[in-house]
Amino acid sequence: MIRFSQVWKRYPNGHEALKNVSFELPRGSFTFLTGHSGAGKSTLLKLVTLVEVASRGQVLVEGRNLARLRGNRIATHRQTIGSVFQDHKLLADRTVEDNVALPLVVAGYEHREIRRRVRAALDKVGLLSRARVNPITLSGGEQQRVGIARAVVGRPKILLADEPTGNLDPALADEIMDLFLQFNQVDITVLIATHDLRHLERIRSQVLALEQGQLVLGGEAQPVA
Amino acid sequence: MKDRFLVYLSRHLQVLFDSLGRLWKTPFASAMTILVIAVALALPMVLHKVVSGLQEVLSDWEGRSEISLFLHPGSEGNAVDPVAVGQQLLENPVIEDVRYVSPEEGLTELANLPGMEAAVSALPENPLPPLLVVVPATGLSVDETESLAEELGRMDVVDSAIFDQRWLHRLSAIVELVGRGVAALAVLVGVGVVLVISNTVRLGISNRAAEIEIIDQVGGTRAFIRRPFLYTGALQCFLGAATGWLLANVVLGLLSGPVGRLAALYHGTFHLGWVDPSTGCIVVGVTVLLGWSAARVTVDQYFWNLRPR
Ligand SMILES: Nc1ncnc2c1ncn2[C@@H]1O[C@H](COP(=O)(O)OP(=O)(O)OP(=O)(O)O)[C@@H](O)[C@H]1O
Ligand SMILES: [Mg+2]
Repeated sequence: MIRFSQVWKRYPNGHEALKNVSFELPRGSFTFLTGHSGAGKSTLLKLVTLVEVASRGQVLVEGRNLARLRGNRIATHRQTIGSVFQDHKLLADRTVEDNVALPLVVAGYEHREIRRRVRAALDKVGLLSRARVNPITLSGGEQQRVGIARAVVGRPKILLADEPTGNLDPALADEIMDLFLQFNQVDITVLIATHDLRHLERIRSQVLALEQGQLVLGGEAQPVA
Repeated sequence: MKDRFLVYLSRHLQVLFDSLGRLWKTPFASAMTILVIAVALALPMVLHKVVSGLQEVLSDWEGRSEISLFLHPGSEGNAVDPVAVGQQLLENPVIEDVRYVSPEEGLTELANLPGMEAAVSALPENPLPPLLVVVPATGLSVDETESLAEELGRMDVVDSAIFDQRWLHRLSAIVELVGRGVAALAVLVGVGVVLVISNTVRLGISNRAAEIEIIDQVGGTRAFIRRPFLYTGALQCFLGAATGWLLANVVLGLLSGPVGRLAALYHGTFHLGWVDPSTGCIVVGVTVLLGWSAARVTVDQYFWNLRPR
C-alpha cells in the first residue's frame, strides 16, 4: 500500500517538482506512472524510497509514515522495496549472481539461503545459465532482467521501476513488462514510471499521470480507470 | 544468542578479509600509504629514544656533581698534607665525601684517556697538582654547591676550586626543550595520520560511489556501508604503525654502534636501547584508533552530504 496525501516536493534550488499530489495504491495493484519529461515521475518514486523527503504532506508506505523514519529504519524500509532503474545500476566488478545477491547480503542473510534465493530469482527472469558471468557481457535486455532479479530477490512488498524499458526495443520492452505482471500476480504492489504510452494500451492497469508536478489522472478525487 | 554472535563475528571477519583483499589488489597505493605512516611514526619514536637516552646520561652526570680542589703543590718545607686537609673538610656538614687524587694517580688516569698516552709519556715531569675531589651532600642545589666551591677556593691551601655545572644545566634544558619538540612532532604526526587516512577513505568512497549508491538503495545500513572503510583505515594504520615500530628499531640498532663509541670517548655509557614491544603496542593501538576515527568521520561527512533533504 502506498498513499500520498497532499504531498509537495520542493528541491533545495526552489524548483517545485510535485504539487499537492494525493493518491492511493492498494496492496497488489499494478500502476503506470506517466507524464512528460520533467513532470516529476522520478521524484515521486524517490519519495517512496526516501531518497528524497516530501517538503509537505504525508507519504504512507505499508502503514509507515515515512517522515517519522530515522537511521536504520530507513534502511529496513528500503529492504521492503525492490527498485529497477533505467540504467540497471549493476556493478561491473562482480558476477551477475553477486549483483543479484546484494540486497540479501545487506539484509544479513545466511550464505546458503542467499545462494538458493539468488538462483530462484535468476531462474524466474530466465538467466540462471548466466549466473557466473560479468553483467557487462550481457545485452541491455538481459541486464535489465538481472536488475529485476535483484529487485525481487528480497521478496519485497513493493516493486518500483523508473523507465525500465527506456533503452529497449519494443519486443524486449514487452518481455520486461510481462515479467513485472508476473511478479504482480504474487501480490507485489507494482509502480512503473514510463512515458511509453504503448504499455498503457497493452496492459490494463491503474494509471497516474503527472503534468508539471500535478497529478492530472488517477488522483484521489478521480475515479480509478 | 550464540548463533547470532557467531553470525556477527563471521560478518566482521568477512569484512576484514575483504579489506585485506582490497589492500592487496592495489599493492602500490597501499604500500605507499602504509610506508608514509611508518616513516612518519618512526621519526618521533627514534628521536624520543635519543632524547631520553641523553636525559639519562645528563642526570647521571648531574648526580655526580663534584668540586675539584686543586691544592698548591707546596714547597718542600711547608708541604701541605692533602689527607689532613681532606679530614678537616669532612667536618663540614654539607660535604659528604672527600677523595684524594695524588699527582701520580692523576697522571695515570690521564694516560688512560684514548690518545693521551703518548703525550703523557712525553712529559719531562708530572705537572699535576694534588687534587681533592669534594662530593657535596646530596640535596645541595647547584647554587649552594657553587657558593661552597667559592668558599673552598678562598682557603689558603687551595689553588683553585672548579665546579662547572652550568653548561650541564644548560644542556639538559636544551635536551628537555628538544623532548618537548619531539612530543609536538608526535602530535603533528598523529594529525598527519588522520589526514592520510581521511584522504585514502575519500578516494575509496569515490572509487566505490556506484557500489555505495546501490547498497544504500537496497537497504544497506550506514554501519554496513561504513564497515569496510573503517576496517581499511584501521588496517592501514595497524600495518603502518607496526612497520614504523620495526623501522624505528632498525634505525636505533644502526645508530647504537656509533653512539656507543662516541659515548665511550666521553667516559660515558650511552644506551639508545630500543622501542620495547609494550610501547610499540601503545603506538600501534593509538594509531589504529586514529585511523578508525578518521575513517568514521570521513564516511559520516559523506553520508551527511547524501542525506535526503
Ligand atoms: N535534485 C534536484 N534538484 C533540483 N531539481 C531537480 C532535482 N531532481 C529533479 N529536479 C527537477 O524536478 C523536475 C522533475 O524531475 P523528475 O526527475 O522527477 O522528472 P521525470 O518526470 O522523472 O522526468 P524524466 O522523464 O525526464 O525522467 C525537473 O524539472 C527536474 O529538473
Ligand atoms: Mg525520471
